[in-house]
Amino acid sequence: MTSTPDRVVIVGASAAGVATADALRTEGYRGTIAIVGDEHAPPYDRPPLSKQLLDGTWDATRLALRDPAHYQSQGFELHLGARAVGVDTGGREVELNDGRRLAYDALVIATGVGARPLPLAVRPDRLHYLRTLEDSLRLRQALIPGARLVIVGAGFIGLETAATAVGLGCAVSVIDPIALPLSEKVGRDVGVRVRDLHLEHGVRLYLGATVERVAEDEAGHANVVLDDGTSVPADCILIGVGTVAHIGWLAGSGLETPSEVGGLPCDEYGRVDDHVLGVGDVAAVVDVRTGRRVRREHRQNANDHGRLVAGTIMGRREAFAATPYFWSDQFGVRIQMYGDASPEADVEVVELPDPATTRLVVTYRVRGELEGVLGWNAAKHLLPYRRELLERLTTAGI
Amino acid sequence: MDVEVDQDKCVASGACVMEAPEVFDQDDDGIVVVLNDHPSGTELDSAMRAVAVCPAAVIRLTGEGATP
Repeated sequence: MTSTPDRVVIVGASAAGVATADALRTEGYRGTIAIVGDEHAPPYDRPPLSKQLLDGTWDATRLALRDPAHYQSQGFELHLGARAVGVDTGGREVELNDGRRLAYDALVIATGVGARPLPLAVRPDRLHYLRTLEDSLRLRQALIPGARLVIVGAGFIGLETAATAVGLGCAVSVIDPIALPLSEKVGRDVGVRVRDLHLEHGVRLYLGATVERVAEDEAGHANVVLDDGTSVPADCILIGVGTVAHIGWLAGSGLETPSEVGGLPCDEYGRVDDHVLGVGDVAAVVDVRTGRRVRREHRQNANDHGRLVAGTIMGRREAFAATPYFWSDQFGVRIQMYGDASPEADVEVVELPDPATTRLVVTYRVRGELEGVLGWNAAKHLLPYRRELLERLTTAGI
Repeated sequence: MDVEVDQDKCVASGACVMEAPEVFDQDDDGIVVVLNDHPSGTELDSAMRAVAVCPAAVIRLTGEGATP
């Protein structure tokens, strides 16, 4: 893009797509912005799907990313319930499932990820995934007091849903081949605490285990059978075994080859090519600290990418530099992680004095340099570490 | 412009405090607290960046000039 484009088409109407649209207007962009989303609901936030929406604290309207009037006031063309099915990169058009074609000067791909399917033969009404509003509302129906929920996968979705379901009075089991939940993201010390938190609240953890099959009898009873032969009774089963980037719709466009970490291969400015950019969960953006592409499926990344590509579309060339961030809420504990926890990091756990609750600050240092910090109910205590991480980003010449 | 926050939706990321420390603070649990609900000049610019960076869409700017 040598000049500011007249028409920006954003495919994907979730956090990253909306963040990009807003960032463009904040940058002073006056041209057309079309946003295409395959769901019918107005753009909504996903983190509450495993928490406040699932336990009924909030209704769906609380998840709206923006006021309904926002899209019109910002002059966004919102195409909801419309699925993009292809891109003609030569003619610069996006094709929708209803046959319409949207011309673009800049195309922003914000199609996100879907739940990775697990090929299990099981009665469909007891099988659940959790990625959309519809998924969450459907699972909520199944989580009646006393229901036996078996969760396959001890990642964020699995663990947060386990906590919510216990709160609703369900009997919850979680199965994962990993020895310590989340340890790949937060290290072993915190992994132990996450495991114990769930055990204390009565979650049955089957760690180091894999699912062989689901045994269903004629009376309608189901058991999830593990590799060691253990049978876990299940009224409903949630699969949370990771994600698949939504790039299949790009087949034939020349953009469909996934990056080495899956998803769209983007440079440090968010570009796939001169007219196509990627944001959010689907986008593997070059991290200039390491020179490698990284795909981060965390909520903060959607906003950070939105600002990045809006700048790029407006002609700026500022490489992506944002401290990675995620959080997770489980059993009233708020876990927050800024930066990274690489396997070789030296981990230090500091317990903060508080008679009422456990509060921890965990630092991750590589050769003495702060690489990441984690808070366990310690949000306010993380600020100095975050400033240090930001300082390092800046002094790295980025 | 006025700053409005929905504390109930706040996830304590502290992103707003990093962007606009004159406008926002956090309570002991990390939940957003507004220090200046009518920012102007550079503080308003920072507050607008905080709106963009907040991961839970908690902050709204209302009133005159809210729509570019």
